[in-house]
Amino acid sequence: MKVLLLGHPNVGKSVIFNRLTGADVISSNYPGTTVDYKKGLMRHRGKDIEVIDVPGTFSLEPRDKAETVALDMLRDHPQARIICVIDATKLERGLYLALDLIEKGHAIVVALNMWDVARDKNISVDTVKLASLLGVPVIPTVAVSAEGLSTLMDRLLAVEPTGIAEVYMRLKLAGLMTGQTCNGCSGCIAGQSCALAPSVLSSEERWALVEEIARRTVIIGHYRHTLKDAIGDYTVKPLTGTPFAIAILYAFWSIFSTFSGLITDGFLVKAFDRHWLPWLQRWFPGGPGTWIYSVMVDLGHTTDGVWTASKTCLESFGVLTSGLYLEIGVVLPAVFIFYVMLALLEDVGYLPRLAVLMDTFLHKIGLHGYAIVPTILSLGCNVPGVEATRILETKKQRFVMMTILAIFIPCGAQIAIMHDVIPQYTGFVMAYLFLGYFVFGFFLNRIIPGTTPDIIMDVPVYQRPILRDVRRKVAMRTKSFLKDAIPFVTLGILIVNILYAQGAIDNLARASAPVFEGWFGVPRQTAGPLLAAFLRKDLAIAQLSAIPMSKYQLITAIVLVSIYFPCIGTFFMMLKEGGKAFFGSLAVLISVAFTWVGLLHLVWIVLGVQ
Amino acid sequence: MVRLWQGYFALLGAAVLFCGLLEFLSAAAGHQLAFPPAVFSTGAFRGLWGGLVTIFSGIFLLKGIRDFGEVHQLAKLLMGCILLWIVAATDILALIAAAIPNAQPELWFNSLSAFLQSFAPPYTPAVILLPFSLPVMLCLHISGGAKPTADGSHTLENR
Repeated sequence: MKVLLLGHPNVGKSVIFNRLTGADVISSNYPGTTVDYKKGLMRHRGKDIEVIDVPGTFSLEPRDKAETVALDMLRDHPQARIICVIDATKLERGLYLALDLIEKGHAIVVALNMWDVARDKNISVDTVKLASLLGVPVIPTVAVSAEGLSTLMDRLLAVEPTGIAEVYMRLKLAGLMTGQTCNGCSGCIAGQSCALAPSVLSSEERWALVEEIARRTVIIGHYRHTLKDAIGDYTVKPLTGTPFAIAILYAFWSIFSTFSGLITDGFLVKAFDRHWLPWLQRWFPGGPGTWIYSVMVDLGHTTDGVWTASKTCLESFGVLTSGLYLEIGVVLPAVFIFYVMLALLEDVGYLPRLAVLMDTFLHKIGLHGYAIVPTILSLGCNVPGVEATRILETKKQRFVMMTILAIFIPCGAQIAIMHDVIPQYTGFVMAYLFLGYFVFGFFLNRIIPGTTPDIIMDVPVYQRPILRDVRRKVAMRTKSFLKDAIPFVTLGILIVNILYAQGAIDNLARASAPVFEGWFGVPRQTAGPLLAAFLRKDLAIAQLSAIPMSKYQLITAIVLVSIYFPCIGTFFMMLKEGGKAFFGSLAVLISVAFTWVGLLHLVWIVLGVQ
Repeated sequence: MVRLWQGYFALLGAAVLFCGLLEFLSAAAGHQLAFPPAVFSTGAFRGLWGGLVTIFSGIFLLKGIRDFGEVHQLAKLLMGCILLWIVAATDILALIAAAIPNAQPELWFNSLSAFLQSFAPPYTPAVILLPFSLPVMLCLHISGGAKPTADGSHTLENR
């Protein structure tokens, strides 16, 4: 038996999915967390059930790529039973989709989720009456505490399809709503469905029906505005919300740098430089001078023909030294704390407010508030960020978002290495990148044809984060990072070291010297790290730190590495998500890199520092 | 009682705003100000950005004292305190993080005495002002028995 979890974005489908299947799917209280379907298995009353978590959709007419996935799932599984998840505090909106599903002849059960929030807001829904009007079971649920889910599954096992004409009949509205008078048709006499009731509804008819059902089943009581509500309001108003957002970002960055500094500088630098590196230098088979030793442990430095061993893992550039140090010693603590804070902000309910706050600003670059979701995800890793662009409605928006994400948003690993290698300039580099994000977004919005629709954003109430959910999200995201990062860094160092050994990097540096030295104003040796940047940008930044150059050249080189090309993971995700548009995006990307880095070089020349 | 609360938070708000301005301006000028046991942060991050957050905190506190006790005004007061707590908490976290590892390359952890010594003054203004912002919790507790205003929101009773 197959069950589809269907409903608007951000109504708790993924939480229900996790509770039913015990699977680990990331759920957040803003739309766009699920942009592709997820499958899981459960056993209920002796029956094996396959549960499919479908991306959120507002109706059965798709508006974006995530909604198309939802519709495809429905078309591919016509016999599947459906749990239509509705936010109990916004019954009218969810009913539209439920009626659409009933009309198409699907067997559905309605889960009135967030029942606790509705109770707190003094909204009561007569579930018995609603169920009798719709002709389908209606179960109040609180997904986060699994309340009502067992009953939901019990009712799902026995559910049968109904029809829209029957809903009219139960409301005894067919004549009233069609403006005709029924003279007692056979359907009415049999008590089944009136002949006047349409079997297919127009959008207006469906909304009229929704309004009528809601009028008969929902009672909104007096609600006192609480302190939580007042703070919720103030954090989305520009005048009060902007200072609050500045403070939250301050806390985010401060905790990020304090924690990663403590773990990396306090302990892991010692562990790697004082124990791991000397141990490998002493015991690695072959020892200094052999090819395998140079690639795996220490490339060393040659001064006046004398080879000297590296003193730190960062400068040794071996697969087992720099490779492990970068990913475990520097990037892992940073990525871990980034994901902890992201999960907390998500679960408290602040991110949707940030989206509302940024809406006006992001409209200037052809996007809307929810573009903040792919942007923030990209600060962890660009790959899920590019995937999350599916929540944007038009091709133009997706193109603009994907392009500026790939160019201007550094991932957590990159930021961590920057913070380790050039702590005093990280702020400047980040500011220059974010400036580029808005400047080029602004231009792309004017150049690229297409529309930017307005959207209505839902803001959930502030709530206490559930530790178990935060822990699960952090573990999943960190595991996924480790799985992606370690093989690529290892491979990156291996390839670059082999190319160095073969003299290929020197040849490349010589050939590209006019561009590097003339246009970008950086040493020609930057060619090597740029090659590595295609595999991992964090690795490339670490390699840059070993090249002798002025602080201005170092800033330019880091900006260049950050924006010149996406890393391999992002490259393939952009190809998958963007299709043909990807090549357009790539062309923009390369021209932007030339312009933005060349401009920075020009700034240094004008300031007389280069 | 309400006047007493208003006076208290007006003083706190003014002190927070003043400290924030001093921190921001001294960081912008590149000077480090110190009035033992207070020392002002420097640099673009803690000095400028942190100073800016402290300024916002002071403004929120001062804005929250009008119509004292009304739920929206209480929210402003609480937001002012939250902003101050953010700056103070990140400063304390930085202190703790600096106190745990040993600076000697051959040792991992600081001794207990060295650890405790790291918490000796001077402190940043946000850390010093932190305890003075905690009475807001009492204020919120009292407002639990608040009366609704005409528009249905709560007020702190005049007691």
